[in-house]
Amino acid sequence: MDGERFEPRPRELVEHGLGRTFQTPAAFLDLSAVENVLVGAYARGKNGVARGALRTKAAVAEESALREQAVALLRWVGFDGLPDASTRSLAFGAQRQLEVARTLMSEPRILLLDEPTAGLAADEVARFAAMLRELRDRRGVTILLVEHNVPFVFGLCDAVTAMHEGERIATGSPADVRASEAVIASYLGAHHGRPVVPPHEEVEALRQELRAVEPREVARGEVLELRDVVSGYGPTTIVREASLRVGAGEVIALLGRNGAGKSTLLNTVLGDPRARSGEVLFFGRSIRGLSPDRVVGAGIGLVPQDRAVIVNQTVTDNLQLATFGLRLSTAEFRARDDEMMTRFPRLAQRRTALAGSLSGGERQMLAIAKVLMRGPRLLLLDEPSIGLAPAIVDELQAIVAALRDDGLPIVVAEQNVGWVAPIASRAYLLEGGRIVEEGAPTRLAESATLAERYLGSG
Amino acid sequence: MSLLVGGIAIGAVYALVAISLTLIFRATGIVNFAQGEMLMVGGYAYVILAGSGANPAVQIAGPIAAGLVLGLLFFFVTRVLLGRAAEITVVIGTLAISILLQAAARLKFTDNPMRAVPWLFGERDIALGGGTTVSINALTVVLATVVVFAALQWLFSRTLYGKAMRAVAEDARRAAITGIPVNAMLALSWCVGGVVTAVAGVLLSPVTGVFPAMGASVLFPAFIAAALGGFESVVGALVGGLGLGIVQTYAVVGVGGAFRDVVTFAVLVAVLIWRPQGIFATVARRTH
Amino acid sequence: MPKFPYAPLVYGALVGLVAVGVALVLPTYPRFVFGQLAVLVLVTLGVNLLLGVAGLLSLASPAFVGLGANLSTAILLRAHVPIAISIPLAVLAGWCVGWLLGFLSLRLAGFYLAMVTFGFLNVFLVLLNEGRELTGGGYGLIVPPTRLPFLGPVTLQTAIVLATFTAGLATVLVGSLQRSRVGRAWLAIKDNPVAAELQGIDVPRLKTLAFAISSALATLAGTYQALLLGVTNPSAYSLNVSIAHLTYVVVGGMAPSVVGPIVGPLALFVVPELFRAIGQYREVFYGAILLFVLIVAPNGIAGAISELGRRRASGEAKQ
Repeated sequence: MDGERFEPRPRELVEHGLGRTFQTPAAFLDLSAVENVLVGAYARGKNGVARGALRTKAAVAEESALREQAVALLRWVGFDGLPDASTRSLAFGAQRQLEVARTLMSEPRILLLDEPTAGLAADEVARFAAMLRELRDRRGVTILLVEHNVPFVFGLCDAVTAMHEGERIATGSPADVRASEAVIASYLGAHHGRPVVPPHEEVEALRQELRAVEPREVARGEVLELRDVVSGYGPTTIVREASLRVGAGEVIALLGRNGAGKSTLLNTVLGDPRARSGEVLFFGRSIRGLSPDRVVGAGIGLVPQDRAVIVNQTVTDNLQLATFGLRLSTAEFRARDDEMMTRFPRLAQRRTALAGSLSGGERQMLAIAKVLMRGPRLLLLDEPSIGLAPAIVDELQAIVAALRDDGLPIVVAEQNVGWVAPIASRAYLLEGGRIVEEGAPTRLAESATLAERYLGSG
Repeated sequence: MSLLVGGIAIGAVYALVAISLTLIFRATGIVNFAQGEMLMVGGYAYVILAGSGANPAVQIAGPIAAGLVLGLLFFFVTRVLLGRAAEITVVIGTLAISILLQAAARLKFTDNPMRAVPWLFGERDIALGGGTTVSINALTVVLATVVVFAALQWLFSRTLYGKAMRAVAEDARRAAITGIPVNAMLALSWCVGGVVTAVAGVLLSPVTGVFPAMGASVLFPAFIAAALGGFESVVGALVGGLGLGIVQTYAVVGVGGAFRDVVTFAVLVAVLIWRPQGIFATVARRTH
Repeated sequence: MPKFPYAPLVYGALVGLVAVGVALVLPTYPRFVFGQLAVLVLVTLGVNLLLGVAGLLSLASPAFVGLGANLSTAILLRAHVPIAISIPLAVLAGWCVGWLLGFLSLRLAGFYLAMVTFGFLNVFLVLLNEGRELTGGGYGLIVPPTRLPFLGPVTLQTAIVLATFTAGLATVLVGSLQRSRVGRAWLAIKDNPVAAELQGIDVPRLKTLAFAISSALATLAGTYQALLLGVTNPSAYSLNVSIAHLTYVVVGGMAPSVVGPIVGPLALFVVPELFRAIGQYREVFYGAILLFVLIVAPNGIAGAISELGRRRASGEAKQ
């Protein structure tokens, strides 16, 4: 910093003018609003134990000066509650304002913001952007922010660096970065070699091909229905009044940029987090409020983004664990196990390996195999292609298509439109936790609005 | 020689309690300050059944049943009643159960130790070569510990329930989406911990007698043994317990019985200095 | 909080004097209980500072009470100095030992801290029992007659006056400290140590400081306890006593309040003591109350009452 090397010790960094906020606002709940802000001035204060207990003249002077400053800062960030209000009862947006005020209280020259717009409503985002602009222009604060809300970033920042799977893929002015092929590809998914969004004819040909193998219907009617589901973690609301339907034999694509709420939506179906309101129906029966293991027992299988294998146990043990509660005989277990090994030949050679030692692709296969061991009636896949080598990505696509051909209804949450569009029958587009569009995946994929929605209009 | 066997025997009791603490912590993230009272209840169940002349199978089945029931009780209090509380609150909760059980035992049985005869083989010494003798109970303790340890290894590496408990301990969310009923496995983990500790109570009864604070005096050494295994490794808890038992026994000869706890505390401080990362790695993983 | 300088000192002295006044109008036995209450309030203020403000669970509080009682008495017996010297010396020692214990357990949190402090308590009890003439071993020490400048010989009456005045003063000072810059830093550490450090708070120093202050308060309480009882009792510092202290704090709300540390001992010690209704059931009573409050009213009795008040107030506001 300032050309000086620093040990990454937080306290010293703060003393040298660095401030940061957290993705989930870390308000100190036992302190009132203004006291929270006052904590930000800790490094500037001088009141020790004796002064604090006795309230000497100097202590009273320092305290009232800082308090005045803190109240002013609270007002400046738009906090409209009472300064002495309890922090526990504050809304999410107010907690974020509080955190920003607290960070500013340490008078930082450099401000690090971690996903500052996460969980904020649209008007709050606009107000926040205006505030950051004022900080930069009037107070000369340098701001470095990590953010997935691309329009917000492009509207605010002087320079942008885009990252994909731990690597920097573009740096430059907002205009440069928005135009970058690599950035568009990372958002929309380049299916190696092919254009980002497959040309219309190619997709149509694929669709015709797919229609030729009309899925045999296992069950008639609705498999899964969500009605106005609202859910989120802690104080944060992520999914807002989402409704969708999955019919028998369908493959549904859930599209939307990073942070749009795709994963949370799938996790809500599983019951963790639980839906705060709305209804989750599985074959017409409400499963809202069931614990995840009960939902799995009812016949829904989820392959989460982190693949969720039990890393300290072997491949075979993982498959065996997945049959918990089914009371399979040894012969039945062996039959299912054999079926998985035919479906996933890669796993056959790694039966006795610990799941933690598998490669990314093998782990993904094991995660899907685990779910299939139970013979589910609905499969939920969360970002199945993320982080996998191109060859595996193709293999996976074939596997999912085969499962669909066997009549298993599947919901795929994917950023990589090119991967999922050819195998899906319908798609939903999520934005800010709401379903904003529904239709044929190819239509959604090719529509100019998709790129716009992901990257913001020029 | 008999000193060494005695040290191993008391160490085996520490080890069993330490293993229970480790199993429960791995599964639930809770360090149970009332584990000693599970041992005490096991001791009373045994001494009462043995006194009534029940046959040896019942004598051991009773304490095991008591351990099971206590395990369920602890699961209920910590998971159902205090499930949303902070870690510190749950620790205080187990302290409260500890004082409750101890005080209840004091009201019912007074502070006077009840004498217990060793399980199955009675009070006999057997002669080893060279004129040394070893109490048969010390050998029973060692043997029983070996059997319990082997049974646990079998349970956790060979059976579906054991593997499921390990899966829940590794990552409860992943276990749940695998289809494993998390709460049932947590309750089961508490029960296994309860049973192993109750057996330790049966084994300790003839050595110290049965009295309300008998478990409390074992708790601290068991904590240290578990800390030696980082509250993560069952083998570490076993080795830690045995080692501590031996060190303590020789220390008693060296510096006098009263300073046993001082030696134990010195071992704890040494552990914290010697391999803090092993201990804190676990803590860090739990809190983040 | 009033703005004029040294306000806590003025208010603390006033509260102390009122407490002394109350003690003096009480009949003999209740006055003695009131003195013991003052001792417990001092201890509970310290334990609450650690647990309710800084979020650190220590089981060592009885060790410091014992340290205060024994050390001050031992100094009186050996050095023949007035208590105006023996008490500050003991408190200084308590501060230092507490600082050391805090330093030793700096990187520990939650149950590991509880474990180490539990071990420390065990070691203290062994040393107490094995200390021969220095501690009186299993019998304890008898406090010798002593004098105070201006006040003359220290009687039970003087001891009660001293204890109650100190408790009143300490309550206000600790309350002021809790709402100062240092107190806010403690609360920040309790809520979120990572975020606290990123606000520039020196977390290790503040944790050690909390230990030192808490220990000094318990040691001070111990010196008064010895004067009140006239003897030191080596069996009065067990883990059960730690749990009793925790119960006072939990019932008081485990929060930065000064009402809690008074309500806790008042409800759980004084009331049963006056009615002599508890006897051998004391431990069952404490254990049950502790568990009950943790489950039903995690914010303590004081917290539950204020919560009730808030609900009523908001209910009225709606109407």
